[in-house]
Amino acid sequence: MFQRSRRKLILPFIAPQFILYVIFIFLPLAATIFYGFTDWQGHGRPWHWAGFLNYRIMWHDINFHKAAKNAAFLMVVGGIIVFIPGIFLAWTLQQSIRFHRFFQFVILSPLVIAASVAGLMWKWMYNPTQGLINPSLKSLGLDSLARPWLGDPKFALTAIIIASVWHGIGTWVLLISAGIDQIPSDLPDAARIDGSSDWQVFWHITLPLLWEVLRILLVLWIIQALQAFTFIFVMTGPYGVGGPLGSTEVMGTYVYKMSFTDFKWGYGAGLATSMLVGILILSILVNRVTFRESIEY
Amino acid sequence: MAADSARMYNDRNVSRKHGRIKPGTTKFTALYIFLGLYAAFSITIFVWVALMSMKTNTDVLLYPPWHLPTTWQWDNYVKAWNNGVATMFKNSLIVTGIGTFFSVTISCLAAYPIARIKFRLSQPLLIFFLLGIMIPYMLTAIPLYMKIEDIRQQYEIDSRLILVVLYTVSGFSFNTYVMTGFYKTLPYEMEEAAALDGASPFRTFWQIMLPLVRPGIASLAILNFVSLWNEFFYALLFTQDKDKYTVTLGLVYLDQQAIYSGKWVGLFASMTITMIPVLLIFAVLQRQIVRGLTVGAIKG
Repeated sequence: MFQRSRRKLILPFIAPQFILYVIFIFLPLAATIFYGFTDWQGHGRPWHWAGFLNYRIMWHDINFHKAAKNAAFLMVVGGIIVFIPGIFLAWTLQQSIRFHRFFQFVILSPLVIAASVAGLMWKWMYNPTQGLINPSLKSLGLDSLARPWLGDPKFALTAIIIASVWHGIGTWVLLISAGIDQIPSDLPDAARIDGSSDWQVFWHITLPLLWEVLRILLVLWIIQALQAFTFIFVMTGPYGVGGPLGSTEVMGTYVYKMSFTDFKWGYGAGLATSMLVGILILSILVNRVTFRESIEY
Repeated sequence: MAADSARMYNDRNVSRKHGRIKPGTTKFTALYIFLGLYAAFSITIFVWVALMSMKTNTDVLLYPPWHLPTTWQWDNYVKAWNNGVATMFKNSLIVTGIGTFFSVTISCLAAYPIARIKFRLSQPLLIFFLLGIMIPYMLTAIPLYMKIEDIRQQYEIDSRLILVVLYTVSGFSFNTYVMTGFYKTLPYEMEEAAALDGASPFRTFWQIMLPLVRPGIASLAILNFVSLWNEFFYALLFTQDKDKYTVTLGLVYLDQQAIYSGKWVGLFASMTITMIPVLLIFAVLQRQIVRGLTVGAIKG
C-alpha cells in the first residue's frame, strides 16, 4: 500500500528522460538503420529501397577496409598504451610516495583541457620544422629519428594515438584506482607478511581481483576507441581527413566523410550501422573471452 | 560511516593499500624516475605552448623552439581574446553547464523509480536506457542532422540550444547507470520509516533520498561537465555561426586560420588562454574532485 502510493512517482519521474531519449536517440537510431537500406544520395533527391546494396558495396570498398583496419589498430594499440601504463600508474598512485598530488595532477590535468586543444598542441609539436619534437631530436643528435610524423603513413596513426592517450589516460587511471580501492587490504598485507615480493602480490592478488573491473573497462574502451573521431579530425585536418594515404582514416571519420562531405547518406548510414554491429560483436566477444569464475577468498 | 572510511581511504597519509615499496631500493627510484620523466614531459609541453604564445611570428620561424622570445608579446593575448576566444569560452560554458545540469537532473529523477520501486517494466526500461552507452554518436547524427536542418530552413534556431538538448540526451545512458547504482546502496528501511512518519513519496525522495546521494551526484556532474567540455562532433555538425563556436570547435577554426595565414602565435595565445583557467581551477579543486570521483566510484 505504501508501495502503491509510491507508484505515483513512476510516470512523472521517468517520462522526461523517456520522451527525450526516444526522440533524440531511439528514433534516429532506427532511422539510420533504415537509411542504411536505401540509396539516398543527398538532400531532395529521391531515394529508393536498395536492400543490402550498401553492404555489398562496403564489402568491396577498399577505403572501408582501410578504415576498419585502422580502427582496429587504434583499438588494440591504443588499448595497450592505455591499460598497461594505466594500471601501472594507478598502482603507483596507491603507494605512499611523496608528491602524490603533484603526480596525480600531471596525469589528470590533460583531461580538463579541451580535447581539440590537446590535439592541436600535439599537432604543432609534431610539426617537422617548427615543432617541439624534431628540433629536440636534432639537438640531441638523434637526427635520424626525426621525420614528418603526421605526414608519414607509417607513423601518423600511432602519433595520433599517443596524443589521444596523453589526453585521456586520466579517466582510466581514476577508474582503475577505484577498482584497486575495492580490494580489501588485508589480503595483500597477509601475503606480504608471508613473505611475497611486491611483484608477486601484484600478479597473484591485485590483478586477479581487479579483473572484473578491467573487463568492464575493456568493453568501455572498445566502444570508445571504435568511435574515435576528434583527435584524428583535429590532427589530420578537416581538409585532409584520412591523413597520408588514408592511413589515419578510421570508421568514425569515414562515416563523417561519406555522410557530411560526400553526402552519400544511404551509404553513410550503412557504415554507421556496421560500426554498431562491430561494437556489439566485439563487446560480447570480449565479455565471453575474459570471463572467469568468481574467485572465492 | 561509509563516507568516513572512504575519506580515510582517500587521505593518502593514511593509506598503505597495496604495500609499500621500500624507499632506497632500486624499484623505488625507478618508480620516481618514471613518474618524473612523465611529469617533466607534460610540463615541457605546457611551457612550450606558453612560450610560443609570447613570441612573434618571425621568432617562430627563425629560432629553435626553446629559444626565448626576442620581445615578449603580451598583446598576443589581448588580440586572441578579442578575436573570439572570449565568445568561445562563453559559449562553451553555457552549453556545457546547462547540458550537464539538465542531463544529471533528469537522470536522477528517472533512475529513482527504476532503482527503488518494484514495477514490471523496471528492468526492461533500465536495459533500454543502458543500450545507449553502446551507440556511437555518429549513428544518431545523420537523421538528427536532416531533421534539424529542415527545421532550420524555416525557423532561426540558436545552434547552442541544439547543442544543449543533444548534450543533455547524450548523458542519459551513463548517468542512469551510475544513479541506479547509487540509489541501490541506500537502505530500504529509510523509505518505509519516512512513509510511517507520514511523508509523501515525493517528499521522501526530495528530503531524504536525494541528500544521501548528493556526493555521488556531484561527482557525476563533474564527469559530465568534463566530457561535454571536450565534446567535438555535435558541435562540428550543428554550429555554423562563428559567434556560436564552442572552445573545442573554435580552436580548430583558429588553427585553420593559423595554417593559412602563417601567423601561429595567435593560435598559441588562444590555446594558452583556454588552458590556464581550467588548469588553475582543477589545481585548486583537485582534492575534492578526486575524492568525489573515487568515493562515487566505490559506491557505484
